[in-house]
Amino acid sequence: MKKILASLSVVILAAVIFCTTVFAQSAEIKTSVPKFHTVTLTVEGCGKIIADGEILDGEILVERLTTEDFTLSPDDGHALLQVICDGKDVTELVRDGVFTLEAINHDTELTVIFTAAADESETSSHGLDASQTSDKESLPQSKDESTDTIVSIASYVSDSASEVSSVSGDASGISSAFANTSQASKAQMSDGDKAGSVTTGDHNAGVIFIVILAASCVLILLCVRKQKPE
Amino acid sequence: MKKAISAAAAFVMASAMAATAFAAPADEERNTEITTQIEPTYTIVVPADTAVDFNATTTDFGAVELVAAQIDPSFAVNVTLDASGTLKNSADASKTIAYSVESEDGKYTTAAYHTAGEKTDLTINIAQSQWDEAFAGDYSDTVTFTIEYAAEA
Repeated sequence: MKKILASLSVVILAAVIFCTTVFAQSAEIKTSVPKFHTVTLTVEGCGKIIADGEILDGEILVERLTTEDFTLSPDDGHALLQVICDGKDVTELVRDGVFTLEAINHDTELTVIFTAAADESETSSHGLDASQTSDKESLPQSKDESTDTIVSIASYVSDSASEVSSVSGDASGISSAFANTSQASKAQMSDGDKAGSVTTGDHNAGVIFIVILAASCVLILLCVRKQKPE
Repeated sequence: MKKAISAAAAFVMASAMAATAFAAPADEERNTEITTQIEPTYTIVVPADTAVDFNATTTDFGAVELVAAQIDPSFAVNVTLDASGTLKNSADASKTIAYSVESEDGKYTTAAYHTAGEKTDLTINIAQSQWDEAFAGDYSDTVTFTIEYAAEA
């Protein structure tokens, strides 16, 4: 009986070994999430970053998924200018001088820039002084230049005055010429009335003027007639 | 009497030694069947243990590849992946990170391989939102590749 059972088990085992066509292979997937993250603090200008009552600078470790409040405190005479977090401007997120990093889940870089608040006006005054200084240094030169300018302006004015006088002289000359022309044209016209023609030549300017005047009067009359309701 | 028996035995022996030869007719054919049998063999490679870097949304997970195969024409090597889809925190199993094992065609669950060289590259994908919300600690999960040699449906 034992022999029969032993041979039977051997047969079954052989059948299992040779007839099995299903295999299984396992693989493990693993990862690790850090407990702390590094927050790198950089201060530019005169001011401090304060958290939990401590002045912070450089790299600090912050527990993952925690929220951290950073008080941005400028020194006397200075003010907060800009806050940059991971390359993004987050200045508008600052409330009452406090910037909050919420649920920190990665390494972060925080840059706080302070500027001299009083220096802005001082900067302008310094600028004026500086400009004034520079003006003072260059005053003698500018004075000479301005004198030269005044002289040139005066000469220009005198030239202009002479030109004005010449122009007025020309104008008077023209008016006299026109008067002569008109007289001449009158004379010729009187002569021309006899002959039934108007001679041209030196009297053209006055004649043309009178013709233009007459034409404009006619046009005005026509316009007035059209506007009048019938 | 003995002489007679001896003579008879010699006669029988001599007649037994005679060879008989036959010749088949010219128009008759005979077929001989030659048979052999090749047992199916195959070698399949599946991914090994893999560590995923923190904040990595896609990680190489090796490949499932039929390296060598001598299989029946109507058969295939079927590979099935059993994965829970969540990495569990070793300290607190309630804290998990969701992941998926994907091929270029999408989520990998099962595939059939017929010829040597057939290969499926796999990746472990974890969404950035999962990383952002994950609690600190060590996470792991075990996936199982089931390999079966079976006739194609």
